[in-house]
Amino acid sequence: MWFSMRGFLVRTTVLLTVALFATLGASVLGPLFSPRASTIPFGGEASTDQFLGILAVPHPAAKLEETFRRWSNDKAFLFIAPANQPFWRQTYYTFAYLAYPRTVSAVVCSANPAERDEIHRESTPNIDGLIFFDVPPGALRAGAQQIGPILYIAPYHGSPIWKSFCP
Amino acid sequence: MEVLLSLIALLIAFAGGLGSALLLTPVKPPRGWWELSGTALVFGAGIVSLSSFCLGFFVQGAVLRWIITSACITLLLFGWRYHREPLLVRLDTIQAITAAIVVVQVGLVTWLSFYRFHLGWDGLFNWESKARIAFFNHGAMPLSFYTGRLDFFHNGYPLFFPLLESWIYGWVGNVNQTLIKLIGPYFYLASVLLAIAAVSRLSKFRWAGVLAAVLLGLTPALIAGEGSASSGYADFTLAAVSLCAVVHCAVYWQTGAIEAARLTGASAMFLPFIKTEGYISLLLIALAVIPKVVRDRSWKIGLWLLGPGLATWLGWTVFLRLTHSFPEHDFRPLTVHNFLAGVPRVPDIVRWSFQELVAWSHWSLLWPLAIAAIIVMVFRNPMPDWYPWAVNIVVPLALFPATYILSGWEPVEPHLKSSLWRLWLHSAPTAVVVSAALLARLAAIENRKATVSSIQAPALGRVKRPTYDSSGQRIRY
Repeated sequence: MWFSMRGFLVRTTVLLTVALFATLGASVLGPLFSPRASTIPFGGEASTDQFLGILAVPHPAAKLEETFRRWSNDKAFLFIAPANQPFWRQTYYTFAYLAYPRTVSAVVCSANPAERDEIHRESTPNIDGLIFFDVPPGALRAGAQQIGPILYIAPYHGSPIWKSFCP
Repeated sequence: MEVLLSLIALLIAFAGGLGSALLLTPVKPPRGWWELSGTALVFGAGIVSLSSFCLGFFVQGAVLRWIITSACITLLLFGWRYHREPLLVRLDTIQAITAAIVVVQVGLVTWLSFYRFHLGWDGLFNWESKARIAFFNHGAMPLSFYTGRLDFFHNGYPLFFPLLESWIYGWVGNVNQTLIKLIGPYFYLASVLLAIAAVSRLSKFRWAGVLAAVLLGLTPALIAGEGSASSGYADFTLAAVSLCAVVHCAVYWQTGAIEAARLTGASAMFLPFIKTEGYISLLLIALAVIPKVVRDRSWKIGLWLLGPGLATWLGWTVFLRLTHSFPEHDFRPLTVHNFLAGVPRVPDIVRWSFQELVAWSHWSLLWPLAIAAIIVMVFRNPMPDWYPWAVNIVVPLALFPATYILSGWEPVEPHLKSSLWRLWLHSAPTAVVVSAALLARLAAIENRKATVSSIQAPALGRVKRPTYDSSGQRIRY
C-alpha cells in the first residue's frame, strides 16, 4: 500500500512537472503562431531588405547591389551619417555587406565631439565614392544619384578630410 | 522549385553522413534508426562544409559542387555495401507516435524559420555574409577575404555554418535568405532524433523518447529567438553537434566500443569549425573521455576520440595565423593582472547567472531539472552512466559565467545578459536528455513491464548492464 501511494505521488509529481514545463514553454512559443503576429516575406534577400527598411525604397538590397555593380571591385566608399540617426550603424553594416569586396568606411557626424566616430579610417585614405545617409550632400548633389528620400551616392576622387562632409 | 533544390542539397549531405556513419561502424552501427539518422544529419553537414573549405582552394563552381555530391553518394554506397547487418525500419506504436511528434515539430520549426524570424544581426553579418561571399566566389571562400584590408564580418569566425548556407545557394542558384534557414530545422531534426535515442537508452524506456521530444520542443530558447533553431545563427548547430558527440561519448563510456569512440571523435571533429565556442565544446568532450581512456590505457581509442577534433582545431588555427586574420576583442587575454581586475565582478556575475538559470521565458524548467537529474544520477548510478553527461552540463554552467571575469566590455552587464544564454544553449539539448531520462525513470518507478531493447526496467535502482568486447559485440549480460 505504502509503495503504491509513493508511486502515485511520484507519478503525479512527474506529470505536474511535465505539465508545468509544457505550459511555461507554450506560453512563450504559442503567441508566435498567432495569425496576428507579423509574417515576413519569403525568399530573395528578405532579411537584408528588412535591415534597410529605413531607406523607404522597394527591394532596397537589389537596388543597392545594382548601384554598386557600376563600380569596380577595388573602389572605396565613405559612408556619412548623423550620430542622432538611430539606424546609422545597422545601415552602415548593411552597405558594407552589400558593397563587398568594395570597402566602405564611415564618418559619423555630430556637434558633440563625444558622439563623433570614424570607422576604418586607417584602411582607406583614398575615397572613390560618398554615401550620404540622412545627410544633405551639399555641393555634391549635382553629380549624386538619389536612392530614396534620405540616401545619395556620389562619385569622388581623393583623400579628403572626412568630417568636411558633415553638415 | 527552389525549395525542392534546397531539400536536395540537404538530402545529399544526409546521404554522405549516413554513408560515413555506416563506414565508421561496420560491425555495430549506431543503435537504431533514430540515432543513426541523427548522427548522419550531423556528419553530412560537416562533410559538406569541411570539404567545401578544403577543396575550395583547388576547384570552384559546378566542379566543386559535383565532386562533393559524388563523394556523398559514394560514401552512402560504400557504407551500405560494407554494412553487415540488415537495415530495416520497424515502427511499432510507440515509435509511430514519437515519429508523428517529430514530424509536427520539424514542420512548426520550419514554419517559424520561414515566416516569423529574419536572419538577425549575427545571422546576416557574421554568417550569411560569408555564405554570400563564398557563393559569389563559386562556392569557396576567397583567400582575399582573409588577407584584405578590412574586417567587417568577424573574419576569424569558423566556416561550418556559412559554407553549408553557400552549399544551398549553390544548388538553388541564387541568394535566398529564407531557404538557408532550413539548416535550423535540419539540425533540430538531428537533435530530436539523437535525444530520443539517448533518453530511451539512459532511462531504459522506449516511450521516454516522447518525453525528450516534448521537452526539446517546448524549451523556448531552442525554438525561438537569437541562437535558436529558427534564428539563422550557428548556436543551435553547435548545440546539435555537441549533443551528437556527447551521445556517442556516453555509449563509449558504457561499452568501451571502438565504434562509439569513432563516432564521438568524428562528431567532435566538427566542433571547432562551427563557432569559436566549439573549442570549449571540444574541451568538454576531452574532459569526458580522458578518465576512461587513461583508466583503460586504450590509447588507440583515445586517438580516435580526440585526434580528429584536435586536427580541425590545429588546422583552423594555423590557417588563421597564416592569413593574419583579425583577432576578436570581446575578452581580454588571461593574465594575472586582467584576472584580478575582473574579480570584483564575481558577485554580480553569480547573481545574473542564477537569474538566467531560472529564466523560464528562455528555458522553462530545463536547468533546475537537469541539475536535479545529474544529482540523482551521481547518487544512484555508476560513473559510466552519469560522468559524460555531468561534464557536458555542469562544467559549461560554471565555466561560461566565469569567462565574463575577462570580458572586454565595461560595464560587463550588457555583455553577459546578451550572450550568456546563447552560450548555455550549446549544452541545452544535452540537458534535455538527462531531464527527460530523470522524469521517465521517476514516472516508471514501480512499472517493471516497460522495456527497452529487452533490458528489464531498473526503476531508480542500479542497472544490470550487458558487457561488450572491444568491437562492440555483446558478450555477457
